[in-house]
Amino acid sequence: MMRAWFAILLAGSVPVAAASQADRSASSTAPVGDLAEGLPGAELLAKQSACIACHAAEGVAAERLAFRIAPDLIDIAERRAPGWVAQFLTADDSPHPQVLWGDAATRSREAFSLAMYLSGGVEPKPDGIEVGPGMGAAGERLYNELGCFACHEDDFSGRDLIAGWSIAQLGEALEDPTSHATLVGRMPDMHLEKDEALALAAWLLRDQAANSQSVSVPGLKYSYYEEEIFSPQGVNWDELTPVETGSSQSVTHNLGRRKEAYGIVFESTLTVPEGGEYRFWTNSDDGSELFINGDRIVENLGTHPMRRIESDPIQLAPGPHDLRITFFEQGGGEGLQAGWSGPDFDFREFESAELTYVSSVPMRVDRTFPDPNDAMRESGRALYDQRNCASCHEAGVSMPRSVPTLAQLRAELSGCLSDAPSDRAVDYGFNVEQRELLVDLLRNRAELDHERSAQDSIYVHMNQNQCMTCHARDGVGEPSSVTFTRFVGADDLGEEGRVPPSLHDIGAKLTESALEDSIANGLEYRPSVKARMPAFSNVDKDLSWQLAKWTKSVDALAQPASAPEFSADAAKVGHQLSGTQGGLACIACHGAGGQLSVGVQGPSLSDMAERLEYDWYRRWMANPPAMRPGTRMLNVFGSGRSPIVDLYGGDPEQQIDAIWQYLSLAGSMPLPAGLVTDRSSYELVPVERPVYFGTFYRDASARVMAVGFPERVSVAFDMHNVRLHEVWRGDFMNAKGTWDGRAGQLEGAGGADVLAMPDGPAVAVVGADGIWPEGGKATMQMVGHDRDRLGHPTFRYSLRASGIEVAESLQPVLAAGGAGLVRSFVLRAPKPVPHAMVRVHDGEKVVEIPVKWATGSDGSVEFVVEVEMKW
Amino acid sequence: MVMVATLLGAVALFSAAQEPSESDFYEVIDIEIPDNVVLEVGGLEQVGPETLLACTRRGEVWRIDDFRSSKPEFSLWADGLQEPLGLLSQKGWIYCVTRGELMRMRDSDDDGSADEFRTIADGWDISGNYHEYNFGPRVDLQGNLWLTTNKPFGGEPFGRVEWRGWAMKVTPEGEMIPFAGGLRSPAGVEVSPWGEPFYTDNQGEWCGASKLSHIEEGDFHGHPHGIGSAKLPGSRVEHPGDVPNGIMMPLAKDEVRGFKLPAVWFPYDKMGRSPSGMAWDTSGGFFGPFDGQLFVGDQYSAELMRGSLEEVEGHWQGACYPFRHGLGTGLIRVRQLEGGEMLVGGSDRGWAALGAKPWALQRLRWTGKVPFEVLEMKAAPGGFVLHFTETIDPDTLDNVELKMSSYTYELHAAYGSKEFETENLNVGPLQSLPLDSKAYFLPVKGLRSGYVHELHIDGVRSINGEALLHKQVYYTLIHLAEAPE
Repeated sequence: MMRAWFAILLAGSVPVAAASQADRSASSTAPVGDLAEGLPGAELLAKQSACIACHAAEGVAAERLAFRIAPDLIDIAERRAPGWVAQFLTADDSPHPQVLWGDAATRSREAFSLAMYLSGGVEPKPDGIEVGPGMGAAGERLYNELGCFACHEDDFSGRDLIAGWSIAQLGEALEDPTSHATLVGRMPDMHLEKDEALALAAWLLRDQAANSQSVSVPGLKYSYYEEEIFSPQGVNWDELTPVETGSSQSVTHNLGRRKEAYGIVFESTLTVPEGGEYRFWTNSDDGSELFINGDRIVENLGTHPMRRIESDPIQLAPGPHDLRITFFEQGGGEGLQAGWSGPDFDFREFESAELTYVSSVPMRVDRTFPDPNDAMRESGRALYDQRNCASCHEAGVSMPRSVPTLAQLRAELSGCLSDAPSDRAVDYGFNVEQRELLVDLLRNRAELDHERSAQDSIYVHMNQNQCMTCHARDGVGEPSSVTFTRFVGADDLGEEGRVPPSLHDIGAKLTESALEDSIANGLEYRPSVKARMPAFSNVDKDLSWQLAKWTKSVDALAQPASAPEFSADAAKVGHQLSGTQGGLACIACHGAGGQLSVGVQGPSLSDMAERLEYDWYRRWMANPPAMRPGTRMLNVFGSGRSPIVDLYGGDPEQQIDAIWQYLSLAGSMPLPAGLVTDRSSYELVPVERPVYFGTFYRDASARVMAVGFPERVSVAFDMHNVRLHEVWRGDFMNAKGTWDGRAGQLEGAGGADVLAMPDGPAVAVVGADGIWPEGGKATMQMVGHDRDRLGHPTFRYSLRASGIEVAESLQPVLAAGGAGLVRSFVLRAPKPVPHAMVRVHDGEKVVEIPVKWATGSDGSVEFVVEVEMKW
Repeated sequence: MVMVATLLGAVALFSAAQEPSESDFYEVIDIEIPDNVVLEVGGLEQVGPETLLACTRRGEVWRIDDFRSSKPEFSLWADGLQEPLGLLSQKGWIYCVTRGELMRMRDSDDDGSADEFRTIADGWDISGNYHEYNFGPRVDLQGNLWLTTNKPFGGEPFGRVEWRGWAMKVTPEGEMIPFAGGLRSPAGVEVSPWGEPFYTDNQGEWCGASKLSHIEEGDFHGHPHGIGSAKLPGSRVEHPGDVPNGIMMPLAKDEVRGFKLPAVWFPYDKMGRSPSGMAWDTSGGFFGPFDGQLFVGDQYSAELMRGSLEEVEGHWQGACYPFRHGLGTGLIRVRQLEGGEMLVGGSDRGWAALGAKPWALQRLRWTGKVPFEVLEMKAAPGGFVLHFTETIDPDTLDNVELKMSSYTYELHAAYGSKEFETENLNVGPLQSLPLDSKAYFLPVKGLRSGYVHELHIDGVRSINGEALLHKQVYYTLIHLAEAPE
């Protein structure tokens, strides 16, 4: 369809279709497809064809028809062998058919000349990289999961376009498209991890496996073993069979697939820079050994915690030496490091460049190419000028006067638009409809001097950036039926769990910032959809805010309903409604706070309010199938009454608003009841009740009780110094430092907005000098604590000298922007204690409250005070 | 794992006529732990006929209902305790020692989780070092609670603190009495059925070999780290002065003020490496023939070891015996259940263990078959008396193979001690005794006080034709038995 046709075009296209000459002749009779009628379609075509690269335009017209500069060719020699540059120009699937003229022999000669000129006949260095087992399969899986096929529909099959790349080079370019001149400004950032990018490259260039060569590559080979018991005093590795072999860039225990009972043997060639004395070391838990040229230099066997052993100095000649390191982890903690010191450097770990091993590596197949010669280079330079290559490949190059400007072009089927373009005209292979569309454009060119409408801009930009290969939008485009069926995801969520969302009313649905974030940074909200939204900021930095602005203006309702004022009570009802305890169990399909839902994975509740327009949300919740037929979203309010009848009498509107209030807590929302957290992880996540955690605590003491509330507010009570140490919002705490291995690390607040309490105890008897006492264990006694029905704490302690007994309670309070805390004190003493004070932080300032004792019937005295902390 | 155990069992039965196997006599039953529970067992207590409480190194207390069923029910009873390593149920409260305090807690509104947490004693401090564990509490016949404090090992971010490496007695009124010092890593504390507190210690610096020791007022157990606290008010220990670095244990008794020799040494790698929790068998025979004896877990070797004690010259001493290997993980706690089964649990976190699991909770059940074992080795004038679980077949008595060596350890700052002054002793032959058909006198030449006497015995069969299940006994002879006058 449309895209297949665009792909043969010069600028702004992606390498997709194998549009051979034969294909193009076929396409000349094909319908235009869904290319828009009138100006927008013609504009898009003119932009894609880079018409104004040759036919200069001015003012608004120049902006409207602006094209993307083609790759900079200045350093092409570093990235592409000249034989491949020539191949690129002459290949059946070349996007450059219009550059070369004449019969096959002439075209070939021209291609070689251009390549000679551009690359100077210099071959780039071969850069082989090892392809591990399974990498190709992983690449193929990624290609399909990430949705690469949406833009590259034919999977590059049978084509030469990328064959001139090396796997390492393609991997690097995919990982960071801005790092490679061919992709910069054209390929959006797919957020690929290094291993993902390499796997994709290995699969796309899998034909190079036939051209594998033995080369020395950086790193170490390793064999990985799993046994019940490793003899602590030395393992006979030859008797064991490795579970897996592979290569690593460093000496590490991290290759272990389990925590206990595994072993690794590393082998590599160590390059000694100069003759002299060297010392070697290993640091391991449990045992390790290090051999040089077969001699054991370091013996660090046995089962033990991390233990470092350094060798005596040994004399080594410059050059390669065999290195072998053995390691086993029997149980408990684990770790492995190794390295050396030499005449010119202190003890450090090995660097990957010092270690090499021989591996069979797929290499690029070289194309034959003539030896460099000046005549050929000169004729290439002349061709580069004559064919105006610079007008597309170099920014700001103006055309010779002899080429008509846009204003000078005649609105008729001549020049590039003629049946058989000749002389300086370029044959783009346009079909009849396309040629007539462009003639129309010329005829109406006066309109190009006015700003384009938002509606048309959406059409042009979404198509130019291939948005429509994944997303559908009325009047703009939609994915092809082939693409549509190839998307993968959670089948039990139907199309919503598999296909990138449609953008029909996206401006009414998403907030402007969510739209911008999505386009610029590739932010995604649908965990089940495997296709990955790329980040377009590196392609066009203005695209995100422009598209956001245009879609908002086109899609917005005239008078959208505005969100209700925040109410903590309504938010509490919303919290209940979203959970399983007397609620609608939203968490069956929606996660929250980084935790997965208990069933299929829909968008997270925590992102909703920042992402959705309230008015859209309200209409959606009231009747989802009415807005998106076939949706899996439950239509709980469809009957006009909520199934939860004891909240607001089952009134849908009020319940929908209450849920919105709850959603508006966003990152600080208490998690809904019923959410199941991963208890084997170290992240402490309060869901239905507070989580208590006793730990060593940074800047406090080794005896701290931290309490995380489901309202996503937390406190740390220092039981050694008998005082509330600090409070914070957001994540509670990660217990890794206290629960992993022998642990014993100091922990601290896991979230943000940390509010430190004033120094010293909260309750004190202040002497005549007015100095607040230090408090702590020497003068105060921890009595314990209670947990109420909701699990909220009351800490109990006493002041030894005065006999004052304190009960200090902490209760979370929901608030817009994050929960606060109410801290209340009940003080009791056998008789009135003069000069007793309570000192607290209310979130803004430190407050000192004099104690006013009230006498009870038994003669004992009491004082009660409550402080709300908002910060 | 269950399947493996079954297979091993089957193999063992098949060859039982020749070589008996531990599993013929003591069956190990896994208590299934749900996937979402990290049960790094620190403490165990039975609180109902079918209900356990287990506290974990992560600070949680789990209630386990129907623990004998194939699907026990786990529910979180409390959380946030700081590395609790023991539980005790008493008078409606659950007592526990955390890093910072001896405390008790209860579920006052009976809603299934604890709501009232009360400090009983917190007279020691923590420097913020991972090794500062506390163990206990156990209760004696007067209602005193006993606990032990570990010494730090590595960095101390909050500075040096007092009372590390001590055995504490806490009176029913909550007064903490620093009762004995010089402990190293006292991972198990227990009160004997006759009311005396004992503890196990792990070999390392100033503790040449792992040991079981009797806690008596004023004892110094050898490690100088925390003994400075002896000068503080409340200490019942007189400061021993400078401890000589490198002195044989039997001599240290005379050279170092208050120095206490152990009741039992556990020779390294012969009897585990890291003794931990322990329990006396008080079931009256429901756990087999070892009624009244001691069972000690090992955190490295995932085995349960056996011990017997006798008082000689006012000092508790005795022997240790291999008992049951191949448990799920490194053992931390051992408790006897009502009905006689032994409950064991632990974790290999931080220290390598031979068990296959990161954490485990298991029951050991006597199968009803009596193993042919040295039931007890006791000191006697000129040798030892060996009590067997069965009478020896008289036809095999002449075939007995006997070997004995003795050795001791050095008190020094370096980590662990090798065996010193080893001698092979002239032993045997076994002599029948008139009053007990299962007891034999073992004459030994060259007994030495303050030395482990390691016995290897083989070649005999029981009257039923069975070979000895275990062939080693390690007797820590602190005092020689005198002939009655």
